[in-house]
Amino acid sequence: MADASFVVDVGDAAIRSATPLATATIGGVVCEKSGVFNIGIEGMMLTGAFTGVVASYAAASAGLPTAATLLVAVTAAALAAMALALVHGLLCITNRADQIVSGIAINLLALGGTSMLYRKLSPTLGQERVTGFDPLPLPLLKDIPAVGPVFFEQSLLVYLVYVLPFLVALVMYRMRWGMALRSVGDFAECADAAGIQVRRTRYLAVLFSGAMAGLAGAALALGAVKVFMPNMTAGRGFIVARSDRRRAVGPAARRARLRPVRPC
Amino acid sequence: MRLISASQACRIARAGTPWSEAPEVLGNRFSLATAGVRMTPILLTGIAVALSFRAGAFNIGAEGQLYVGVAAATFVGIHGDGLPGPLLIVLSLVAAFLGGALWILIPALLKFFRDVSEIVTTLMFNFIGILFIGYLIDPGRGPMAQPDAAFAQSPPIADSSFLPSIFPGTSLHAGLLLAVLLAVLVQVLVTFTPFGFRLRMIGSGLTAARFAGVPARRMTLKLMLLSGGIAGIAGGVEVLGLSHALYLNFSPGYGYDGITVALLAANSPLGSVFSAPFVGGLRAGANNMQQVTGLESSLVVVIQALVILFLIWDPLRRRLQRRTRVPEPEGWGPDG
Repeated sequence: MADASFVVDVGDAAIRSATPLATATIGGVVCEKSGVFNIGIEGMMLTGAFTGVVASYAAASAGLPTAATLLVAVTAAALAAMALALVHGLLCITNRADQIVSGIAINLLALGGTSMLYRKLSPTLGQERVTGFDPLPLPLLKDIPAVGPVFFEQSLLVYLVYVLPFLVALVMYRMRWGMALRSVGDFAECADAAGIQVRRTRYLAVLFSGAMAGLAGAALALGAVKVFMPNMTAGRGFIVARSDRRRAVGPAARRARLRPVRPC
Repeated sequence: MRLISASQACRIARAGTPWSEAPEVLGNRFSLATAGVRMTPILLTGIAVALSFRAGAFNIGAEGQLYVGVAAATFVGIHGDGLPGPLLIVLSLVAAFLGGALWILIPALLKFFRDVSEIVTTLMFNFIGILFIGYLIDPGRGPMAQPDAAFAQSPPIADSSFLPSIFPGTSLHAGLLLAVLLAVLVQVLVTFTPFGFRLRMIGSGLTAARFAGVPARRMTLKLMLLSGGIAGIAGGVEVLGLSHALYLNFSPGYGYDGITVALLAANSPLGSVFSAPFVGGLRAGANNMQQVTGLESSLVVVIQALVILFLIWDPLRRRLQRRTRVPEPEGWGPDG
């Protein structure tokens, strides 16, 4: 039965590698639905990965227990990426700069900045593995043959991805707040006339996507390898930036999109 | 124009040279030549990016197009051994152009037929292109690899196809002149021809251009191919003038530097001639700076990013844009 264990191994690795992508995509979708295109997700992920590893190292050195260390690392990763998202928001929403250009600049900033800081810190940080997320088998579920080892012997962040899309979809499609968000992206003037705070909604969406990208970076760095390497995201953020099929698929998807009646 | 590359600035800082004596240090012809060498491919990718940005098509795949252009030029350079030098150079550059154009063909066609965002497709093609070149020169196995090499590299191109040096004793080659010439030509194309007029039309108001009868889709297709081709030439010039063989990690990001160059030049091909020395100087000085001061060379990337961020932050620029921008029918939408 060597083949069965191979399938389980591949499935296990696939789920683990998909986690950062899925997490960041959720943020990307929300951001794009609000009408702001965030190509800086790549840089935000990278920043999250770097900050997560550094914070994990620092917290563990300070003698915090594992759970607290991970909490600190994840929070720091999300906050650092959100700081970049705030820059994107200030440029694109308040300053109405070009979203692509701003995103590219943020990616460059993150790539250069993390590489630079990494080389500065690598004497202390070294190549040693920091405290990361270890597999946390769920009782009962892990005993299901084949499915259990693939899906339910993963780390906490993976379980988060099982839940998060449903939560976000619930907010986006079943709650007023999500409706407001989508209307801001679909027809801003109309949303504005309806009394929705366009800018505030967009800021929140961009910050959310930043937090998700930071989490994704943390999942990437702390989920499996538990070290940081320069440019370790290697284009994952770009896959994410467009896997939401709003424009990537083209006219068919565009036609399928709900549009409010034009004169409003 | 006197260029202060980062390396020179550092040398001054270390030696404590007063600024009155600085010109002698700054005027070092070798440093200037190095900056010129670095600037050449960056100027060419800058022209390519500027051309596409001007028409509202975001070609950010210059890096991949450059790599494929290098591969095409190297292929011609290796196999055209018996041909006379000038012919071989021209053939190599044509191959580089075609290679670059080939690499943007799929994103351009997707844009043409399916309206697929070229931002993502060109960007993703960077990764495909770079990895494809890695396969071509994979030691021992790749079809273009040097048979006995331990490192990933192609055989050297024929000596007769080397671009001549234009500054004796340095590696500054004729590619710089070619790049400047191309900048002038593309500027003329954009400013003084019907093609360029239509290009600027679809860039500044797509809807108005469509109403005026500009075949916007076909225009976009053409200029994307042109942009990709020029990015390919950037690679061709680099291999003919400097490296003389195809290596892994051939470009340290010239394609992305081109974006900075184009943005600094406000998407003007001729303006890129003036912004490319800045980025080229940064690149040329980066390694030296790292050796001399211990600062990381990635600082150069950070500086570029900050330059772009402050550039688009500028309130004056915003006011200018607002005055000229055509009201977008989609409202505040992202695609405008």
